[in-house]
This record gives sequence, C-alpha cells and structure tokens, in this order.
Amino acid sequence: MFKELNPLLHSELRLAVMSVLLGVESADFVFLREQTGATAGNLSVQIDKLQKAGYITIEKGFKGKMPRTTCRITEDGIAAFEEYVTALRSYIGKGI
Amino acid sequence: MTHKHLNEAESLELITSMIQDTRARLARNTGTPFLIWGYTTIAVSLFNALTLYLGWSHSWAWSWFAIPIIGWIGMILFNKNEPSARNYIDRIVSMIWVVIGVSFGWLMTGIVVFGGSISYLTVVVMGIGTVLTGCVIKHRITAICGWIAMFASLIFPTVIFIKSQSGSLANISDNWIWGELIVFAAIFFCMMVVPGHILNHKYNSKADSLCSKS
Repeated sequence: MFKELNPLLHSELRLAVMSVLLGVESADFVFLREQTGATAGNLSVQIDKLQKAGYITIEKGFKGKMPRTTCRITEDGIAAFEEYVTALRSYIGKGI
Repeated sequence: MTHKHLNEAESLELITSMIQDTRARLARNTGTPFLIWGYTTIAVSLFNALTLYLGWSHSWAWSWFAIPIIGWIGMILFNKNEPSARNYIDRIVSMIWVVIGVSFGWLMTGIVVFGGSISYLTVVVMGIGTVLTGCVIKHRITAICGWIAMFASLIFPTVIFIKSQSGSLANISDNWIWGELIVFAAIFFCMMVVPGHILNHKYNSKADSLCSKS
C-alpha cells in the first residue's frame, strides 16, 4: 500500500523552499528566490500557501532601510516533510 | 522554477540538490573573517615593529586600535554581501567569537592593570577561538593551525624568562622589542591567514562546481 503524497509539498517550488529551509535556521526572501530561481511573484504565492498550512513562519522586518521577509520552517513543517520523504521512499522502493 | 508537479524520483532529486546547494552556498567564504582579522593584525603588528625598529615616538602604539576599527568595518562590508540565511553552525561560530572577543577585552583590562605579556595572551585566546572554530566546522587544518599557534605562544614567556637572565643571552633581548611583533605577526599568519585561504579555496571551489552543475 502506497502512502499518499502530501499535495502541498508535491510541487516543485514549494518542495524546493521547504528543502532550503530544512537546512537553515532562517532564510530571507531574496535568498530563497536566488536558491530556487523562481520569480518574486510566484515565490510569494507559494510561501503564503506554506505559511497558511503552518509549515513555515514569516517575519517581516528591515535590514538597514530595506524591507526584509524572513522565513523559518516550523515543527509541523519538519514533520510534514519527513512524512513526505517517507512516502516518496515507499514509492521508489516499490519500483516506481 | 515553477509550481509544477513532479514525479517521485524528481522530488527526491530536487530535495537532495537543494540541500546540497544551500549547504555549499552558506559555506562559501567561510575563511574570509579569518583573512580580514588575520591580515589586519599582521599589517598593524608589522607597522608597530617598524616604528619600534626606527625608534619613532611611542604615540604610534595607538595604531593598535586600528585592528578593531578596520576589522569591524571589514566584517560589516563582508556581511553586507553575504546571503541572508543562517544555519546552526554559523550561529555557533559567531557565538564562539563573541565570547572570545568579550573575554579578550576582559583579560586585556587585567593585563593593563596587573601586567603580563599581551602577545602571549592574545595568541592563546585567539588560538582557542581558532581551534574551537575548526572543531565546529569539522576542518582539521584550521584546528591544527590554532593548536600550533597556541604552542608557539610559549615563545613569549620563554623570551621573558631569557631576558630576566644575565650574560650571553642578553643580546637576544635587545632586538626583542620589535622582534616580538614580527613573531606575533608570523603566528597570526599561521593561525588565521593560512586556514582562511584553505577554507575559502575548499568551499568556494565546491560551491562553484555545484553551481555549474545546476
């Protein structure tokens, strides 16, 4: 029996954002945009979806005079990510 | 990158590459703080050695304060160009150097009041920071350079002992006034500049190769 893949994470950009945030304590919007190569508008929409699901937190602030959006992965986000990877492995392991 | 749906193999591949790329990017320029502080300290030390050798006014000793000023300006400029993401290791290394810096200031106050070898104390304290940094980032050469510097710091109390002895060794102590600063600069070269360049070479070439692959 295959585990169901989390549809929120099973999308290229959202999965990339979660993978980046998993390896850092925090990352700002510019860093995420550079790492994923996404457009600002698209990234903003996907980050918003992840935040609404409770997978990441978003903190608005300033770096000098420039506005800065800092993202962090939450405990729920880590748990969802682990579950997603376990589900992926079950697919790969069964020859798909 | 879009929000298209991936197959299972592509998902795993994306996760792996994103984690690797992020790690490589954060490790880029790891050695630069070592180079900023190392080269600044060496330049100011050699300048002070020169002023002592040429017998200039002791007022030039105020130039030692150029180290924190140049160092902090360098660090501000460096951090301005760095990616705005931090991992656990960055935070630990930063905290190590904050504690080392505060402890150093505290110990310097004691040295000024009660006396002692500033060179010895500086090399030991900075050596501890270098060894700890090498251990945290799992870079053996950095840790070894720190240990070598701490071992070399014994030169300073040894010369103080020699200076206290009379006789044939007295000639050594005559040149030690400026020679101490040359030795100090040489130790800093080994402790900070060497690991700084090795770290940058290692991690920057790693990051470049990952970037060219992706």
